[in-house]
Amino acid sequence: MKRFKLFRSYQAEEKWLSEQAETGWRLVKKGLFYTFRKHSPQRLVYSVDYRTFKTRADYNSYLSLFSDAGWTHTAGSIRSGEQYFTAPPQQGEELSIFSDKESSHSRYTKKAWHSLLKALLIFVFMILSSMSNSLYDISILVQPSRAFLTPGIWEKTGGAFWQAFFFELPFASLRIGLYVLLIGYVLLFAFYAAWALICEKLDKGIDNKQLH
Amino acid sequence: MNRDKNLPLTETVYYILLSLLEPAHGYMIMQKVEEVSDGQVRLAAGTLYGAIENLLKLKYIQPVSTRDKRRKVYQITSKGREILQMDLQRMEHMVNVTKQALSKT
Repeated sequence: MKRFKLFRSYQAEEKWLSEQAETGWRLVKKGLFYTFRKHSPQRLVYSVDYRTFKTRADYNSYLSLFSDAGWTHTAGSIRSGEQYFTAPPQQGEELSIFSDKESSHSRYTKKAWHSLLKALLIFVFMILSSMSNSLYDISILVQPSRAFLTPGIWEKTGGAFWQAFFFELPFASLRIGLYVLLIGYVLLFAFYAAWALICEKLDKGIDNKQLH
Repeated sequence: MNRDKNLPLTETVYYILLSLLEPAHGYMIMQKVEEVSDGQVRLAAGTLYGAIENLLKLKYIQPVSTRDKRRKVYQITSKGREILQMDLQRMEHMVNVTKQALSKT
């Protein structure tokens, strides 16, 4: 089963994944979609980490630490960022891969910076590749037909039109796709940066309350 | 005298450095920290991994080569020893002045 879903927080995502496991669907892969496989219904704790790795050795060492500590890695790859871990629930204990708030909240900060970096990379690529011509005219967003650069393509008819259309379709899709990705990453950055700030505020609020 | 900006160390960092006076891999650190803190400090895997990355960046610990290919082993550096020592002195001072102050009243 494949599902697409966005969450307001990692906590909400973890909770939802646990509910899926309880109804017999276990997460096996996470890309743009969540991929589930049918399994016997089971109570499982999910914990999501956000981390990328420079080398395979770093990644292996990371995975070994979690498996030594009793966590099963169920989804995520060396460059995916999100890493999904499960463990059977323990009685009278709330299981998590984080033992303090700061490290749990640092997921949002890291994700925000990574999203911004990706947005910038795409932006720089778009600027560089359109130095001499306006490949990425912003009006593409309002009028996707402008992504096709063949002169007079929309005046053509019949076979000539379709030939020109299909010839340019991959390039046009790329131009539109890059814009979508750019906007997507900017939105992700804004969302996670907001979360990081909220977390910081919450931490301070809680600390102040404890002091008084 | 200006104090090192990384002082005071958090309880977590202090115990990690303490347990890395001898080489250890991640899970061994978790066990050691729990043991020397009398079960007071129980590190979760994600928190520990983040702390290790931080300490590597600060050069307080370093990886050491071993036969275990799947688990990185770390050890404290001289810089790490130094900061541990400084935090120990800071706490000794706190303990001493507190004892003195309490015994007078």
